[in-house]
Amino acid sequence: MYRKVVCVLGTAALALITVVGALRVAPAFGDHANVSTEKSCDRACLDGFVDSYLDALAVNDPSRLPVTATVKFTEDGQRLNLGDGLWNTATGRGTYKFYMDDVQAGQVGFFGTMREAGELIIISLRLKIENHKIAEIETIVVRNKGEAENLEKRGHPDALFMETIPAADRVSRAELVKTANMYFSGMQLNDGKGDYPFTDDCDRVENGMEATNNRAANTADAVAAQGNSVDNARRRADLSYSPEWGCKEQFQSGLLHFVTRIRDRRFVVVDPERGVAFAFGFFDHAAGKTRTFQIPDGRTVTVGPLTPWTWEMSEVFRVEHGKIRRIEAVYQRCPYGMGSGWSSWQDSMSTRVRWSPFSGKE
Amino acid sequence: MTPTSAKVRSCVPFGAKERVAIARLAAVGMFVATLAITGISAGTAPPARRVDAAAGACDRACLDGFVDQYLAALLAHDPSRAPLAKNVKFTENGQILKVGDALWGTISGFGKYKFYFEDPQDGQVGFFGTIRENDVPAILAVRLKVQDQKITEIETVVPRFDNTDDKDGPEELDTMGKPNPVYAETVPEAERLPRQKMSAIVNSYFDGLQRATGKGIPFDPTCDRLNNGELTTNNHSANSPILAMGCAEQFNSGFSKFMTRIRDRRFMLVDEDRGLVFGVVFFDHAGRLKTITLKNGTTFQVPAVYRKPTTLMVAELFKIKDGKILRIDAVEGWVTYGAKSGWNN
Repeated sequence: MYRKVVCVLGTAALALITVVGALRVAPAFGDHANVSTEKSCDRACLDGFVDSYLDALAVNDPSRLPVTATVKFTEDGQRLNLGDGLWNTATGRGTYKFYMDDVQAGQVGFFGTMREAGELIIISLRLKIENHKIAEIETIVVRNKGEAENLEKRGHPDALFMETIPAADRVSRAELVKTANMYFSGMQLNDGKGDYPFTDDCDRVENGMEATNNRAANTADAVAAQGNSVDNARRRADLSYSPEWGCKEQFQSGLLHFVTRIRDRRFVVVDPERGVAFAFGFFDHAAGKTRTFQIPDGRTVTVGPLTPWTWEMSEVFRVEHGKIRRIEAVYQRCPYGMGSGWSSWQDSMSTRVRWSPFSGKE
Repeated sequence: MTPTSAKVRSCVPFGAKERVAIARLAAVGMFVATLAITGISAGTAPPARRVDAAAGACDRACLDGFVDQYLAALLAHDPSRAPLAKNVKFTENGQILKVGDALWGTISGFGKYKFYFEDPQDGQVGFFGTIRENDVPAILAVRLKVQDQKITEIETVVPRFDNTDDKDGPEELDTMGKPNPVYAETVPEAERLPRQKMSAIVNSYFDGLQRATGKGIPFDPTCDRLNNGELTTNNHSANSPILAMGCAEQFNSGFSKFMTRIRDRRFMLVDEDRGLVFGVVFFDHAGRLKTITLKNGTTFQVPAVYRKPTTLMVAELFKIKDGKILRIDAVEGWVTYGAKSGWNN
C-alpha cells in the first residue's frame, strides 16, 4: 500500500455503436423529474455559474459559491463533502472551455481543463441551478496530463455545437434524446447490423483525441488503449477497428461488441435550439464470453479487455436532421459496475434512457 | 453509520439494532472528521458483536468448505453450483452486482496461494488467494457470511494489476505458497481476548495511521505486514527507509500524514481462538501534502500517487498475540476517491 503506483490510464479509443432493438424511451430520473419553473437563468447566467464554480474550485474555496442548503456534490461517482476531492488539490483553470446549456431544465454541462498541483487535468461538470443557487454538482475528473494537453491544443470545441438549429428543423427533447441514445444502443454489444444514425461527416473527440477520421492515429496504441496489453498481438491480427474510420464505419465493423452494457444513461442537458444532448453513463466491459463474437464479414474474433472494468462516461452529441454529426466525450476508467451517485441501484444497472426534465407529454 | 465515517464496526450484522458502546483504547484520540453530509463524527466506540445463532452450526471445516464450494462455482462460471441464499448479496470492489457478473465471467484458474480464516461463532469466513483472469494473475479476497447452511453475503476485493506498474503481488504470494503459520496458531485459553478488545486494538492501528503516530498501538516488536504479497515492514531490500522500519517505528516516524482518512472500518470477522480480526476499510488520500518532515528530521517525499485524491480499498487481517499486533496481511486495490463498500445503507 505504501509504494504502489497507479498507472494513469492511457488514451482510450473507445466509442461507437448500433441499435439493438427498439429504443425504449423512458421517463426522466429522480431529482430532475420536474421541469424547472426557474425562467430567469438564461445561457449566459448558466455559463456564469460554471465560471463561478471553477473560479472557486481553482482557489479551493467553496464558500464563494452560491449553493442551496442541500447541495449535493459528486466527484467520479462518489458523494463527497463540497470542499473534498479536487477541491483539495486544484491550482488553476485551463484554457479549454465547452459549455452546454439547458435553460429549461436549469442545468449546465461543461468540459474543460484545470490544473491540479500544477498539472493539466480534464474536468467534466454538471450544475443544477435552482433559484440562482447551485443545487447539484456532478463532476468527472480525468487526471491525465497528455489527454488534457491534447484538449488544450484543440483550443475550443467544434463550432457546430454552438450553431443554432433553424426553428423549422428543431425536434422535441424526446426526439433529440432518442437519436443520441442510438449511439449507446448501437455500441452496446455492437454487431454491425444496427441502424446507426450518423452523418457522413460525423466526427468524435474523446479526451482530446480525434477518435474518428484520424489519419494520423497510431492504430496500435489506440487499440491497446481499449484494454490491456497482454492480448495485443492477437488483437492486432484480428481487429480491424480503427480511429482512421468514420463514425458509421466503426459501428458497422461490429468490433465494439466487447462493450457489454451501457447503463445509467442520463441525458442531463437537452438543448433543441442547438441540437445538443449531453449525457452521463457507464460502459461496462464484462470481459467474459462476450469477448468472442462474429463480425459482419463472417470472421470470429476475440477482442476487448481481459478483465472486467468500466468507463465512466460523459458525452455530448450534436444532432441534425435526425442524425449525429458531432460527438465529444470526457471519461475515465473506474471499478466495474460503479454507480454515478445520482441513481438508484436499479437505475444504475439499467440500460434504459432517462433525461431531464420530463414533462410526461413529449 | 455512513461510509464516509471513520467509525468502526465489528462483527455485527449490518442493520442490527443492538449496539453497545465499549471502552476505547486509552490514548486513542480519534481524528474527528465531522462530515457535513452526514452530520456524524468519527470517534465513536465500536459496537458489540451479536452472535448469529443460525450461523453457529458451521465450524471451521464447514466454513472453509463453503469457500471451496464458492470458488469451485466461481471457476465454473456457474453460480447455481454454490449454496446461495435466495437473497444473497454480492459485491466486487465495493460495487453491488448480480452474482454471476464481473469475476464470475473471467476467472480462468487459481494460483498456489490459499489462506482461509474463520469466525465460527458468527458464521463468517474469509479467504485470500491468487487467481488467474483470462490467464492474467490477480488476487482475490473473499468474505462469506453463512446462515442456515447458505451463503447470504459475498464481499470480494479483487486487485487487478493490468492497469498498474506494480504487477508482482500475485507472483509474490504464489512464491510464498502459503500464509505465515502464526495465523493458525491457537491462543491459550487463558490468554484470549474478548472480541471487542481485539477490535479495539485493530481500530487503534487505523487511528494511529490516520494520526501519524504509534502512540497507543500495542505492536509486538517483531510485527510485520504484507500488502498484496509485498513485505512493507522490516524490508531492507526495497530501497525505502520507510519500508525498512518495523511496525512501531514506521508509525512513530510520522510518515503516514498523507493518509487523510481511514473510514468505513468494518471488522466483520473475529476469531478469539486464534487471535484474528479481519476487516475492510478505505484509505483516503486527499492529495494535499507533497512532503512530510519525519520525526527524525528527514524529509519524506510523498509518492506522486498520493499527491492527488486517491483511495485504497483494503481487506486486512490482523494476528493479535499477548494483546499485541504481531502480523498483518492485506489485500488492497485502488478505487475511486471516496468509494463506498456497498455494505452500508
